[in-house]
Amino acid sequence: MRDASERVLIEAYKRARTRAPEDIEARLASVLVQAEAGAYPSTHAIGPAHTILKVMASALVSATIIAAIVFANATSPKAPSAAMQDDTEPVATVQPMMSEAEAISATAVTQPSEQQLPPATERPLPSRRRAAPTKLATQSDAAIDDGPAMAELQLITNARRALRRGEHAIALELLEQHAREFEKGALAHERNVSRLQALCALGLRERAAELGQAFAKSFPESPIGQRWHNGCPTDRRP
Amino acid sequence: MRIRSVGGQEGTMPGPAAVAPHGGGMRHARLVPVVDDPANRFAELYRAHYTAVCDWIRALGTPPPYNEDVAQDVFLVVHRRMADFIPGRSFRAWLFGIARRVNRDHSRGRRRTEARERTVLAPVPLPPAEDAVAHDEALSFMHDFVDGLDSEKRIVFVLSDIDDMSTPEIAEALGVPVKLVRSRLRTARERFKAAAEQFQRAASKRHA
Repeated sequence: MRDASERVLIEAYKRARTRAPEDIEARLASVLVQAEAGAYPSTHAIGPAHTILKVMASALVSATIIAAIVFANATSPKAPSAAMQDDTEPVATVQPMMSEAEAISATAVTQPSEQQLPPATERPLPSRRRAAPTKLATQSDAAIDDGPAMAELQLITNARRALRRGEHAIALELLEQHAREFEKGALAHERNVSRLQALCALGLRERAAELGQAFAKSFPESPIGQRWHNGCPTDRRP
Repeated sequence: MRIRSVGGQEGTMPGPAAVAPHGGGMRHARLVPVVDDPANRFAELYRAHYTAVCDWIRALGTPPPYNEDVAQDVFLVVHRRMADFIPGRSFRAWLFGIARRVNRDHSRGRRRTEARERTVLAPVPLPPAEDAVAHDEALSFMHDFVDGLDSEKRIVFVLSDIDDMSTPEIAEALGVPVKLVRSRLRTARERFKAAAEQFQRAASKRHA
């Protein structure tokens, strides 16, 4: 049988499991936005250091995909909220692989042009936590809302991805773009968490402290805001 | 382009209540109103199992931070294949099966790109924790121990002793006989016992 010290060790491992990342909602949103776009898993991983050039090149492809989605929603307002059953993709054990370009486009920086997407509205989605994705799936007047929502989610998704890969500067740039374009967007909370992480990782502690205070003020009930109130925390997720 | 909904078929996916949740879920569960909506069901499953999937992917040999990218893709597949889940079967075994396949595909892709990108700097790790030293010591011992097991024993150990999955459930997840799971688990636990004793001795010396 297992002795006490073994149990302590096992418990430490289990407890670490219960610590969901702070930005889990943004991560969830990013899966949903990719799923909505019909993306295959990017089995051809971009690798830790895809270049800006690659990203820029694929931005156009992404914008086209998003435009197509918006168009589909706009032209078929009764587009069924269903259709997993109608899925014609083979239910294969191994997912078909997409070309690298496609894989990148699914995750690339999107800079959709004004012609392709309706202008971004400042109007936040009804509930931040209830999350845009649910809305994406069920709204039929989607063309009005989904474009900006998709673009917003995509920005956050890409920023998170960059952050996970340790490309903090790229992440920060994307997050600041998000702050400019979607200042009061539905994912403002997620943006600020990620931004604080990027700033701290880059050693920009003063800017982090400044943002942390503003963050705590705008989300007074958020425990995360309180945690970052004094700048870069020391207890990082492993 | 066809727009797929978040949900899909009704009634084929266990709600989180039907599934023993991994710890991570509960903290966030309150954020979404409890309604019987398949869209929310996916979200709940994501929140309930995300950290476990990250951990499985790591146990399957993909180190952080890449394991998080793979986990995202696992859920992308889960989202698409929700209708394929057979009610009454073990949800976690099903989820693990997907995780294993997606991870295998990723590993292949990674091996291809690694050579190309070897010159590029490795990701900068986040600053290490400075508090909760004892907890971190225990945790890092556990990670070292688990990472040090060979892959077959590693995954059995994690699924059994961290996820508390039953032996038949693990056998189903891995597609191997129950007997084999038992023997791998026995060896892994023996090693764990020895390593834990060693860790404990070293720890008491350190803190003496």
